[in-house]
Amino acid sequence: MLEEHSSGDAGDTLLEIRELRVTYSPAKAKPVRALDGVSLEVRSGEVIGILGESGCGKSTLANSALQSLPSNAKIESGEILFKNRDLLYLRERELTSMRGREISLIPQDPALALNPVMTVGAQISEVLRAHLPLKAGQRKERVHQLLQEMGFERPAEIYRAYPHQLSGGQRQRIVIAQAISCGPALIFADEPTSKLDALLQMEVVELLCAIRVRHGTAMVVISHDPMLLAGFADRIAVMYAGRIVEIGKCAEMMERPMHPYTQALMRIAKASSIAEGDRKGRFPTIEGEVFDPAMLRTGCSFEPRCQERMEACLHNDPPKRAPEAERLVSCFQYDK
Amino acid sequence: MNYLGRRLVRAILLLVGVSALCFAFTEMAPGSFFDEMRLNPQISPATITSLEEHYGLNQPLFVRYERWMQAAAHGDFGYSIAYNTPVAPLLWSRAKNTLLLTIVAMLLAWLISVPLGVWAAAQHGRMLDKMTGVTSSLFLAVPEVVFAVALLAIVVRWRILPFGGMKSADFDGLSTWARFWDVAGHMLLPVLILALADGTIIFRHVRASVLEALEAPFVRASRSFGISRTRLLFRHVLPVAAGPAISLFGFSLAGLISGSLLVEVVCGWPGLGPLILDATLSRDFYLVIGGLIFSALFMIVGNLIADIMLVVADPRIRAGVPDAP
Amino acid sequence: MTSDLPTSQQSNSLLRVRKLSKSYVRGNLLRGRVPVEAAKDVHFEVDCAHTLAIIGASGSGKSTVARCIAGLERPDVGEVWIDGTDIAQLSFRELRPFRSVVQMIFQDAATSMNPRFSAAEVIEEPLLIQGQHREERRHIAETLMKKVGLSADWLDRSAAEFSGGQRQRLAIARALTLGPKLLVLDEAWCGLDLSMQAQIANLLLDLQTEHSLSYLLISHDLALVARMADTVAVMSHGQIVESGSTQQIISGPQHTETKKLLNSAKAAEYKPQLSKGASA
Repeated sequence: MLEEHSSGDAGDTLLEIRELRVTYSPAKAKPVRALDGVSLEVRSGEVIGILGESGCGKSTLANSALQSLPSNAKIESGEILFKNRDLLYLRERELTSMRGREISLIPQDPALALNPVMTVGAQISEVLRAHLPLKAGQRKERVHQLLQEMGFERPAEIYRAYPHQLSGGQRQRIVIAQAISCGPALIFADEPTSKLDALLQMEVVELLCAIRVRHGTAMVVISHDPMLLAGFADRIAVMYAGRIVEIGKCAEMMERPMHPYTQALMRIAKASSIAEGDRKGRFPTIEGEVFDPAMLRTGCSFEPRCQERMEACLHNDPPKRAPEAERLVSCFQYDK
Repeated sequence: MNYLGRRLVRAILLLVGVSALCFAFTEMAPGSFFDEMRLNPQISPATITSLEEHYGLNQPLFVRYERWMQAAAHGDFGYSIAYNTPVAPLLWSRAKNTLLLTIVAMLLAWLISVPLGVWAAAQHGRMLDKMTGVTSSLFLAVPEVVFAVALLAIVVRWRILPFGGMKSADFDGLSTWARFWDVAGHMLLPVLILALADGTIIFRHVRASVLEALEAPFVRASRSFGISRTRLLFRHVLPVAAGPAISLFGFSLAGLISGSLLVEVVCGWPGLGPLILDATLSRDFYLVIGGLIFSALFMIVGNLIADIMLVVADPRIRAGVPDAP
Repeated sequence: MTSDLPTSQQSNSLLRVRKLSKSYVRGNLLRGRVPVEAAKDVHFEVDCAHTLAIIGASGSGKSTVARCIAGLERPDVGEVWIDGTDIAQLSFRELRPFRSVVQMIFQDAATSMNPRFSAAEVIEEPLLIQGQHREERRHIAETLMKKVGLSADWLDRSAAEFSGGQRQRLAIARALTLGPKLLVLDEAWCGLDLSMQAQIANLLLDLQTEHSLSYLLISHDLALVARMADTVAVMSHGQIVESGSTQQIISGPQHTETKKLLNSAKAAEYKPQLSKGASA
């Protein structure tokens, strides 16, 4: 858990997740623990980047916060406090009125996240209708404003378009318009750019930056690419095998990563950047496979792939330590 | 050419194909209308030959098919030997009854099955959903003839309903209102049998397509924007689920018509069913072909209606997008 | 390092593409048929044991070019010289021998193989068509599994049991069975995790040195391409707008499209002042 509140620039605590444990029980396989004691604090107006590979539990984290986990997932223990209310004890009706109005989720694949037989204007309007007491005309006007804010030059045309008539980047902006339509205090973005090409990725990141500046919305941005988060996150949390292994301020995480996994990720990311990678040659990598949560093991989950493993890593869970202010890291190296 | 144009051309080609197959198969079937006459010593072979010539049955198949096609294009479907009248008016008088039966059965089946299917999908996994699932499997497993016979047995034993034919003997003396009830009473049994068989299939399809739409990623996304379950089901999911259900409409009509031919025979309903059966047994060549073409026509028109509805329901088909984005 | 792209070093080039054009007709109910020129007058060359990267935004036509070269589509006009033969207008049957020379690896390995097939079946499938003996096939499959960094013990696992990165390795193994000279990699590691991307890229680099393979790399990610390619061609609206050695393109981009791609790649890089400005 994070205890330090020393920094002056961040606001009050908006969302606090405490020791969250989530297990999936697929129909024909062994149960899998997706989140294993995750604690995270999001302050109002802050952007947190969640960095991790597939299967590390980062999407589960977002879905837990919105209480929209699939039916075979179970929250075993923990608390999710949003504005000091524990979401785990809210009734379905209260959750429904909260989703989209207070916490929103930008889904991963905008091509799948939009209804194929409804105009995109109507789909944005539907979100407004669910939360705000507006008349049809007012809603339409508000949708046009939102579309303009999303950078569409002819909102009226876009309003009447169906999803298949739009490009991938345009669809992503429609989904973002849905997410911000009711002015939520917190937005989760689950790999918002993974299906887009490099040019469009930057457009979406810039759009999210602009929204954050204009509305002061707090964001939790999930990605596997450190470079994407580096541009605009205030803090970065690195997840591995259902746990947050390191969290700290963005600049410090980028320049001085402490956990061996973070260090390796940053090495790869820097190697594939233009500045250093203009020569043909091998990449630094993390050997081994991405952690398979179905495999039970004792000790540190990253140990099999770690270059700096010690005897202790094999048997015990690494403890959380705070070697400096605003930084937590789970590794025996810092256990002194 | 646009989507509907292509569908229309396809429908016409289909009709031509069906008629060709009808000709070929009817020709292959052994025997002819005049077989019985040949056994009759009082009718001379010369008379039979001249009769055959009169009806054009002595011509080779290809020539007959060509002539028939030319005539059919002008609405003349040939001449019935047994009834000694042109086929078209005869068929039409019976087809009206078949249509009445199938349309009423269809409306009943859809009106009951669609809400039931949507409801079962919304209740997915609960006790009531499982119960309706088991019941529908049961209905699906039992052939319609068994239903027909079972219901008939009940009706005949307890005399709840008028049975056999379409009208009571004193029909002509009744008031308009009483006539309506008389026909409705006679109809109830065959309609029930048909609707039960058809409705089960519709129920299962509607339930499956609503379930599939409910599990689509866009539903999860919409839920995370705080759109309520009920609103989601009616405003978002049903239009998506409508596509597969509409495609089913054409199939369902085809099933209903072929089912109807059978049920009409069992219940003595004066529709196309008994007519085609009699015509087949007596080898009344043009009547058989006409009857088959008529029922094929119903199916094709049904499919065409389904295609038109699909265009209205799905913007992707309107724009000619082959698949989802 | 190779020479600049447009010069024709006939002796050394494995693939030579001349004046390749391809257009599609897109059906539209309202506006009728709209022809879309996906590739227009495309020229390039790939030398033996070298990598050419074609980069461009989505819809720039780079995948169309890749499919024409892999023989999956036929160009409307133009020449595609592979190993001294123009395959552009060959019939399906005549193309057959060239299918073993050029192999394509797709973005999503999962959809390019039958998930019910075992790894052995996936790899041996091309050999089966060639009619090789059973033990021989097995032996080749085992060697290839080791070569791409998978355990030979996994040959009997079904493709569905492999992770995304492993499936991409499997796809590479399958592509190698017939001993190709050119691999066409169409966004081959898009959608994989960063560490997996690096592993696959390293594997491809190692295979290139070992077997003198040539690669045609299709990507929108200039940053990753920089470490993989010897030469780069930039495509925009169906045309190659700029080409040259990787260093040339990165250090001195000329065309606006190249600059745009380069800027987006650079913008994605970490800059301390940007993050500070955003949080203020």
